Amino acid sequence: MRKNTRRTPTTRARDRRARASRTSAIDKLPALELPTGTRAHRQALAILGNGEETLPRRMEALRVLQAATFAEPQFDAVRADYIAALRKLVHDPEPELRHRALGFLSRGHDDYAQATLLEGLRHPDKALVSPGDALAYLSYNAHAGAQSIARSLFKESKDHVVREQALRVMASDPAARRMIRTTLADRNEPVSIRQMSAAALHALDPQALQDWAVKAVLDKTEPEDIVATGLTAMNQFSDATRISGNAALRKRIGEMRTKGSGVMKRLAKSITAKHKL
Amino acid sequence: MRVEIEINNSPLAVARYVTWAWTPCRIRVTDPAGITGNQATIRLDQTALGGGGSIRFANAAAGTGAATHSLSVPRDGTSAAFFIRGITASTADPGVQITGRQTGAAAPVGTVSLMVRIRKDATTLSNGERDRLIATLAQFNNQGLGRFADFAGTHVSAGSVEAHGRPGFLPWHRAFVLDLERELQAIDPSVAMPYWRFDRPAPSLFTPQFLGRGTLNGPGTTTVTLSATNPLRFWKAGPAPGITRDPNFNVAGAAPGPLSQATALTLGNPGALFRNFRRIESPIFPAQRDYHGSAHVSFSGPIDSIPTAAQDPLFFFLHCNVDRLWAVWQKQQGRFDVTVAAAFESVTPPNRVGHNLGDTMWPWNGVTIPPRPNFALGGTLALSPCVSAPGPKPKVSDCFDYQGVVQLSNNMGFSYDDVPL
Repeated sequence: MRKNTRRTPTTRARDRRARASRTSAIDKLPALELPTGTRAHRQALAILGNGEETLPRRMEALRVLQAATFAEPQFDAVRADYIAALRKLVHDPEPELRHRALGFLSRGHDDYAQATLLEGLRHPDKALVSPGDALAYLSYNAHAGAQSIARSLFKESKDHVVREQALRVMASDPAARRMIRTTLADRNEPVSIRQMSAAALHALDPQALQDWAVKAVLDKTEPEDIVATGLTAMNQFSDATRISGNAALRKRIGEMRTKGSGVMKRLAKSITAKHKL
Repeated sequence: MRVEIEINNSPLAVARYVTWAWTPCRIRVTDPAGITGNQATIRLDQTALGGGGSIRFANAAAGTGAATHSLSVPRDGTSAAFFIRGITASTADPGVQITGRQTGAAAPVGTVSLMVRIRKDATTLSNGERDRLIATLAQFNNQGLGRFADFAGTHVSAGSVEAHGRPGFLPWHRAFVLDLERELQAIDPSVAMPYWRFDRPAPSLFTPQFLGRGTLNGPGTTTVTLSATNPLRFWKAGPAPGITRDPNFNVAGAAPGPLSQATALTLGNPGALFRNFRRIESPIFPAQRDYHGSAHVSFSGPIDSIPTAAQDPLFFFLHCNVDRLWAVWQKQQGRFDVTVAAAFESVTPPNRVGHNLGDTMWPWNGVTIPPRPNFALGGTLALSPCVSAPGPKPKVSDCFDYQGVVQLSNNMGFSYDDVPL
């Protein structure tokens, strides 16, 4: 009988504690006493699917099988069985196995995994992983149907991880552009959320990010990490004339070369040299 | 008098990069004033510049070479040939200046600067080398709209049979890493692809200043922490921005899954056969371990799966190391010559297309007719201003003699810091 594996958002911390406590055991790579040749794959699958086996042995079986997926023809004979085993693991009581299975499946755009994750986001009582992790797994497929849920979660959630992952999903959603721009400009938002917004806006609308970067660099009241993010974006992706043609910007960057922290000085010097200011 | 010195037989500045391999050079008189007779004797010396490094000279592409070199140069402007090769690597460009002086004279009659550009262990890069590399990677990625998308989109399930599980695994990935490296060098010629020596600790690679810090034994959902000044924070190679990667081991130590280099090198036994050696690709039973696949699954995140692995820039550090191991084995066993049976795995009937010595490799050949995949991203393999091999549509056989040991023209233009010529 399947154990109750439903997870709530609060399970994330517990899952992490569990992982930490098992780290040393997992790192030892226990011997699985596998046979030679392709029979080894079958044996590893049996260990992986057996809930009576120890977690380290099941983790090692999963590690070996996933490593073997990189050898195409040899693994083809068991590939379908491996996918089926991963789909079962999605409901396993062990959080590490559940997460790794969801990760492997999501990276292959597996329909079952995506549907399960979406169901958990719509109905938290059915969630197998935290909403932040669910969004992270769904972010591998822009067509997984997670974008509207991501927008809702970003607005409603207080969980930093959820909002950060929602921004990543929103980065492929043109309907989220305005929300991302607003967040980037909002000083009440945490710096890391604003920085992720910068990356998301860069993906959606690079020109808008450059416009913001100029404002951020000129604004002496912005936190240093935000100014550094703006300068880095400018240094890497702006065209030279946009910087050299802005007298106020040139002056500000010139000031930064001699004032401020070492990081800001290095950035200002780098941008001066690269763009020949 | 004046002379012009050409590296890689090219007057172009972008061709002034050398490796451990013998590099053809030439010198010619551009202003004969002061030359008595039909030729001048020129002595070539070297001086280390800011980037450091050193070279050796020789008349022919053989032997150990010497720190200086004298040769006769015709007065009429005809070129005289000589060869150089790197002995110690540069850390920046330029690294070495060659100065020509007429015998007995102190004044230079010509100079040229170059860089000894070598693939290094990523943990040994200077901060400057590291920062130039990640800036170049970020620029090439260009918010997910650049050519990097072609690389990420090539190493996917539909193209996997071209690259994995068969004898072409090592040659294909050698070309793949080289293609990316040359694209990066087109942006900044001073960069070379470093390698992640995953059977050794490499903590400095997984820091906010380099490839980012994930969560130990995290679920593979952590967007790695990058410093505010790290341009990789704008990385986008899949639908979502950011690099997602959690280590399944303590990065203060070595990844526990991959075999040690010493053990992996023995896989070619018995017989030092390529057929045996290529078992580094995926787990060998009953031992459970390998060199390549286990490195991929040392982390949770895109790097652990074929469809997404190349979205993570770590992929190229990892595969550079796999390629380096092949290079070490080739050097140990003398397996550069494809006419030597043990250097490859030729069989009858032939391997699947794309995995035989005479086959061109996808996607660079542009072939999209079955059994090849129905797409080919990125065009032909990037050309180098320094060398002509392996060509725009490389065959499997073009990816063995990477330092031109068998034939100088096979030189692919890269070397590893710990694999001598």
